[in-house]
Amino acid sequence: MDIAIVWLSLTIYVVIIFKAKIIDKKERKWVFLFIILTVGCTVLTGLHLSLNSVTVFLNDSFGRLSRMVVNI
Amino acid sequence: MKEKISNLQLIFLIANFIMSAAIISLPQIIVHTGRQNAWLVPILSFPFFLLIIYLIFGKKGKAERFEHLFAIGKKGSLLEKGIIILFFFLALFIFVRDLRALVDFVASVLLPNTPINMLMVLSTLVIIYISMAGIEVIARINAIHFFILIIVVLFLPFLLLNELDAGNLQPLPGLRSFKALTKSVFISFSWIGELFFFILIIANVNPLKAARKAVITGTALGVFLFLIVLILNISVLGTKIVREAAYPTYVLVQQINLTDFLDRLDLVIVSVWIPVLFCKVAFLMYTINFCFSYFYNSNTNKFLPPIALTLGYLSILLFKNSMEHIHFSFYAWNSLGIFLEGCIVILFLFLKRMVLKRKEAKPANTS
Repeated sequence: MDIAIVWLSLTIYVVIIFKAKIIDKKERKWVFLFIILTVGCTVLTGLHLSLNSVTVFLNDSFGRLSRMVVNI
Repeated sequence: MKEKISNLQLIFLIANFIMSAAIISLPQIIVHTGRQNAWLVPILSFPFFLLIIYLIFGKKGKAERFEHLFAIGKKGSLLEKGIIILFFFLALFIFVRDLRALVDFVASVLLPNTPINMLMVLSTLVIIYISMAGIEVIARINAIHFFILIIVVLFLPFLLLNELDAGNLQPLPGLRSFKALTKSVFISFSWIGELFFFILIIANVNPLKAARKAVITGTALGVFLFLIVLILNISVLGTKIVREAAYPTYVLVQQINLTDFLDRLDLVIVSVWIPVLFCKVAFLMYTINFCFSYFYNSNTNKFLPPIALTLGYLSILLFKNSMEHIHFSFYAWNSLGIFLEGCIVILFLFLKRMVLKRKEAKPANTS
């Protein structure tokens, strides 16, 4: 359901931005890049995949440092 | 035209940065480390922040030199660009952390049957709507809601008068508790340090002359409100419950029972607090968009909706479950936040010096 809402919102966004001619040719690539990123994220969420390796890395590096300070 | 915010709006914004997200679950880890004396943490950390604010602003009446800082469309120095990149990462991490905290809180307390993805998408749409309007609108909405929150927090001690137990604050702090309190101050430092976002919007303040006073007042207000919440948490619930509850402040608010029929005031108070947190997250989204606009050389909202939705999804994808989010907020964020905020403050001090030298050199050249 959430994916449907996001895709619908993106469609409305694209229609508005192209109909109103808000963006020029150079900016199109940025719009498409950000839309692809959003769609990619919705697909990852739909497939129940996680990007928690980033958080695991931060918890292991910065988190360990904080734990060391707190456990002194 | 450059958007302007008043000093009062800046005060409320800074107090919001300090308090709105910190009250969700920060008391848990602070009390876990500092025990019954943890209420001293805001008082102990305030002088540090005061000192940093004085370092940032310098002598009284020198704030005008920040008027053209971080202007979009102007060729900025390398230092300015470095600060903007650091602000981007700081805002990104706080956005992801706070949005997930908000969504987890609503999912576990208010709407347990609604999937968190749905809550995240709906919240992100609201955030997009607010942040697209710009800093002036965000500051105005924040001023209205934060004023109501101040009244509610100031009334909390009276509403909880029948539940207060001064014995929970004993034994009183001594030299032995110094070590534990220092650790608690370290934990809270990066959370209270979010007030440094004012650096990015300092050029938008009108009048700029009184900005230093406004920043100090905002910090004092945020710290004071957080102090009230901490004291109430410990004295009403006791250290054991605060350490074990996922949302101790919500449990605290649930203790309010004025009469036999007025015992669900928690919903009313949560409905006052949630808009304040929305304002903070909308401000973070504005900051992220501002950083993009700075490098894009044009103040634009064109890319904001897909960026906001991507970041909203990142708040779900980056944390496998709420435990991982809590671990990130309690431990990883402390060091990471201090690192980012420290770098921003140090670079800004260099930038300030550079701006001052440039201003001193200009009249000499013109003569």
